[in-house]
Amino acid sequence: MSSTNNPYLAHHFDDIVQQHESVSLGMWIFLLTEIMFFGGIFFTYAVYRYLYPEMFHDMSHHLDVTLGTLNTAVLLTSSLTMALAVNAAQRGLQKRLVTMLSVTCAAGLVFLVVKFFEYSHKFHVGSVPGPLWDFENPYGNKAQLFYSLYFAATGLHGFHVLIGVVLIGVFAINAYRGKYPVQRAQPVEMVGLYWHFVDLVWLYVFPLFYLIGRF
Amino acid sequence: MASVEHHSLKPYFVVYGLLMLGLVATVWVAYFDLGVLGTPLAMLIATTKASLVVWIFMHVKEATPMIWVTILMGLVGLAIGFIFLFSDYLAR
Repeated sequence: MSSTNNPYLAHHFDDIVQQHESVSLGMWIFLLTEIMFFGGIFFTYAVYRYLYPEMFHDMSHHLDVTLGTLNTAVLLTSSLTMALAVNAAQRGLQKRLVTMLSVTCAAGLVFLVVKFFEYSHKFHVGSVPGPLWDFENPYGNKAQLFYSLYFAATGLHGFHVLIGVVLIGVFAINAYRGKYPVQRAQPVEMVGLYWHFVDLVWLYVFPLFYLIGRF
Repeated sequence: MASVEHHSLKPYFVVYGLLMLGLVATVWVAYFDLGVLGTPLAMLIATTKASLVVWIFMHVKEATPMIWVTILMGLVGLAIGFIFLFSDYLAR
């Protein structure tokens, strides 16, 4: 593609290829910091699960596998629609881009609604660490450790989903206004990378919290 | 342009099908007592799913070597964390 007259080429880049690579690299470096961010939770999880395997095993039973599976399916589906949105942006299919971004945004909302019901159930039965803790279990107050990690991991992930829903919602509106013509597909690609990353984190959170000790 | 034009949507639907199969597998294997192999197997399935998402949905397949090295550094960082953690805790 000739880059001389591209209105979307920033002046400090030589050409559109260089600009594209720089933007992608920046986004991936951001995602690396996110890996280490979530990594901290997984490190902590690994240590405490190693120290208290039975407790993790038993407490995992109190999480709702059906809702967890449903939410995983919702996120995987939203990843597909996000990939289709990026594809539509790269091909300049405006209508499909708006539709796919809207569906992705809606799927993110569904995820958060399911999460809300899961959380409110925990407040109901008292399995929330801290002053509200009132949960009958053989491990007593120690079991708060599992729930602290559960809320930290799913809370941080849920917050990322919330950011994604808002971002993708804004992108859907902008796409509707025609702000992403085929020469400017990259912002959609980048928000896609973010959304897929959020999906990736859940692929690990789900089995590590919901599915241990199901047998 | 750096981004490759994708006119076929088939790979996305194939990956989606595999991801859904992976989800079924994840839940299914969780109901068997596999002893110490349970968690490694769950992580293996999760990593297979994650690789599909990264390779196809995130277009890393078509990315530049610079991006590949960058991603590799993230995984190395994570690996260092886990290696030092377990070389400590498992040796106690």
